[in-house]
Amino acid sequence: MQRIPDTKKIIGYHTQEYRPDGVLENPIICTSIDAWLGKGYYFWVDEEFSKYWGEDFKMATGSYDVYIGEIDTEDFLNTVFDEKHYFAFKNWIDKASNHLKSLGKVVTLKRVHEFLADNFWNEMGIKGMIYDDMPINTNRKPGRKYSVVVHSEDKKHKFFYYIKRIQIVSYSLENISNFTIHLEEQN
Amino acid sequence: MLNINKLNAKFDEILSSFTEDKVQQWIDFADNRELVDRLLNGESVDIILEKRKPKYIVADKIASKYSNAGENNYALAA
Repeated sequence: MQRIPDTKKIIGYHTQEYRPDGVLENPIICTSIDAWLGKGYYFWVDEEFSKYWGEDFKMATGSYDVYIGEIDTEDFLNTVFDEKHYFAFKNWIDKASNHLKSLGKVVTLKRVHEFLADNFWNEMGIKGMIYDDMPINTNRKPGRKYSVVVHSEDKKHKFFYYIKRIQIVSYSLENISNFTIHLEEQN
Repeated sequence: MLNINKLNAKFDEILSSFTEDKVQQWIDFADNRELVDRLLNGESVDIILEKRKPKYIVADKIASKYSNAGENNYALAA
C-alpha cells in the first residue's frame, strides 16, 4: 500500500473500460446493487488487482484503463490494518444482523451492508472504508499472485491466498485528489 | 481521526432507533430502489396480469330476484 508521506493519503487504482473518446476527469461512482460497501468510488490499493479487475470485468470496449488517485483516508474505517477498526466493524455487522433477525427479518450479507451504508456510516462521520475483499480467481487464471497453487502430497490442488485483496471505497469525491490516467488501453 | 469509542455509542444509538416499523420502512425503500436500479440498468420486467375467472350467473335466478322485488327495482341498487 503506497502512502503519501506525512499524510493520511493512500494511492488508489480505479479501473474502467477504455474510452476511445477521451479519459475520465473523475472516477465513476459504483451504484451496483452488488457493491458490498454501498454506493461509492472504489479503488484497489494494488495495481495488480486493478489489472485483474479490468481483465475480468471492464473489457466492454475491448480493453481497459487504470486511473490513479490520492485518497485521503483520515476519516476512513481501516478494517484491514487497524485492529480497533476491524473489531468495531465486525461488532457492528453482528449487532445489525442480530437486530434484523430479532425483528424476524430475512438477513443476507447484502441487506446488512446496505442497512449500514444507508443509515449508519454517514451519520457516524465515516467517509470511506478500507476493506479486504474475498480473494477469488473468477476466471481461474493461472499465475495470479493471490492464487498460488500448492500441490500437496496427494496431488490435490489447493489455493493459498496469502495476499490481501484490498479495496478502498470513498463515499464522496471530496476525499479524492490528483485523479489521472495511469495505464491506458490495456488488455 | 475516527474515535471508535464514540462511534460505538453512536452506532448503538442509531440501531436502537430502528423499531420494527422503521426497519420495515427501510426494507421497502431498499427493495424499491433495487427494482428501479435493475430497470435503469436495462433489466426487463415480466408483468403478470391476474386473470379472473368469469362470473356466471344463472339467468333464471336473476330474473326471479328482480321479479320478487316488484316495481321497486331501484332498491337493489343500494
